[in-house]
Amino acid sequence: MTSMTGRGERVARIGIGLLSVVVVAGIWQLVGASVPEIYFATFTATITRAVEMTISGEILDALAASGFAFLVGMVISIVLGIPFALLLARSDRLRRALEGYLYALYATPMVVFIPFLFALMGVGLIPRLIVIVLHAIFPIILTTLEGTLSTPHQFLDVASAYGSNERQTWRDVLIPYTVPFAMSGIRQAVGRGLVGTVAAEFFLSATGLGQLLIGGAFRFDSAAVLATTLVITIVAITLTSLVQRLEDRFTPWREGG
Amino acid sequence: MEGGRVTTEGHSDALAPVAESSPAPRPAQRQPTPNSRYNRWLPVFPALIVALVWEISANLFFPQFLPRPSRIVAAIPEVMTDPDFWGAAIDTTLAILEGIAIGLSLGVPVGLILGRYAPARWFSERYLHALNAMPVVAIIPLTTLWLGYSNTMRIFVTALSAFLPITIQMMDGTRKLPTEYLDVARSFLARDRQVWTGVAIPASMPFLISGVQIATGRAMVTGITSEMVAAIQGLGFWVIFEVRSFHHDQGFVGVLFIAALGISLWRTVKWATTRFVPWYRPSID
Repeated sequence: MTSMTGRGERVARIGIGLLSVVVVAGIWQLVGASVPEIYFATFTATITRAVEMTISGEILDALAASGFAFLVGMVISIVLGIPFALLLARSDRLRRALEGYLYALYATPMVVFIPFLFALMGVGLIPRLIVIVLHAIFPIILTTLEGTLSTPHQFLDVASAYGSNERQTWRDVLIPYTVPFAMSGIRQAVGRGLVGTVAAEFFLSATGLGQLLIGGAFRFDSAAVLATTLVITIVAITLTSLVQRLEDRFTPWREGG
Repeated sequence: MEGGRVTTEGHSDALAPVAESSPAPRPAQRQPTPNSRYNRWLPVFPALIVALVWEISANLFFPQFLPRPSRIVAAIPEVMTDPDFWGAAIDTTLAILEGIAIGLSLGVPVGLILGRYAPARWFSERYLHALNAMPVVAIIPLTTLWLGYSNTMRIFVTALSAFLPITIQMMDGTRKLPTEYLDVARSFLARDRQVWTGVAIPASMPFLISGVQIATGRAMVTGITSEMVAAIQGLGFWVIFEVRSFHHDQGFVGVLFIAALGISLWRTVKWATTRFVPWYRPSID
């Protein structure tokens, strides 16, 4: 592609991108203006409400509560999940015994455990953390396990030919080979962890973004619901692109040269 | 779950999260373990241990109404003969399948068009990525405002959670069509229609599959959650209702059923993949 068309394409791309913002905001405004406010607030009403909720501290409080639970849940999932995966990779028997269950749990929609956790522990941080970890940990375990198991045997042969001991093999071959897999597991875990965070807050919390949504819907305050949804979306995009960037950073050596 | 036969090869492409960014799992080079008759029974032990620990600790520490394995097993016949349960199970299954079907039938053409026509992509890409990053359960409260506590609402959120990953994967798959393929098609004077059916669509199949894999899992979660939040007739509501009526053991049978449903959907997609797209590998950078 010549630089002329390359430049023209970039201009078109930015132009259409800007146009789309105007068009979408415009359509949002028109739709909002033509239906009762309890269904769908206009774009301007949503932004106004978002500013109000930010000034009143509602959004920041909710963000802090949800963000804290999400982060702690992710840390627990990573800290437990990766070593557990390495343990499974080391022990053939343990892996054979547990692998089937791990895949089954991975495919199970974990939200169904929420009513039981509520009956056992009521509303609180601990049951919510359990929900978040249940959502996040299985993709981490399974992708990390997959990575370690799929290390090409040539790599291991070279390592043993040069007299690497177990520790060196892990440090120089297995772990570097596994990191990108673990990262891809963490990327999946972030998406699922967000689902877990919001779903848990619907039932197991008195605060947080999930409660803002439920409360707003209960009061037919569509502007507040839309504003909260917007905040959640912005947080989700930020987190997703952050892990994506981390993952890309680890990509260069993943192909193994 | 027949863990004894589970081999590394069998699961090497199991997760396949996002085609373009997941590392390519390679078949593992492992020695076949001897003593396979013994290995076949290994998965029994964790289940036994969990059931035993659960049963004992529940009897010692937990209130009487909380579920425990012996009573869950005893509750199975009762639940399996309960017409309400089967009504809920059928409703949920149909809603999820319908959601996936809608997501597929809209997502595939939209993704193809966005992948092939850059201006359309520049216009809509950011919104698709934003919605796809957002946990779809977050829009359940909003949709209850629009569509009420209804089956339509459940179908809407389920379809949306299937539509987004399928559209995005199709878009990426069509866009990343290697230029050599197109060059070859051009030099053989292929028509537009032939480029579509002969090159673009087959080349994007692996992406479609990862889209469908993500979509089924998400549709399931969103469908069940919407039933729980909005009290729509279905398994999610059935479980929450049983638990609230202190029928925890019956409720847990529902959980096991939902888990089985999730696993079978996932397995169906995997089966369809090996059956219809045997050349599929999770990563085709």
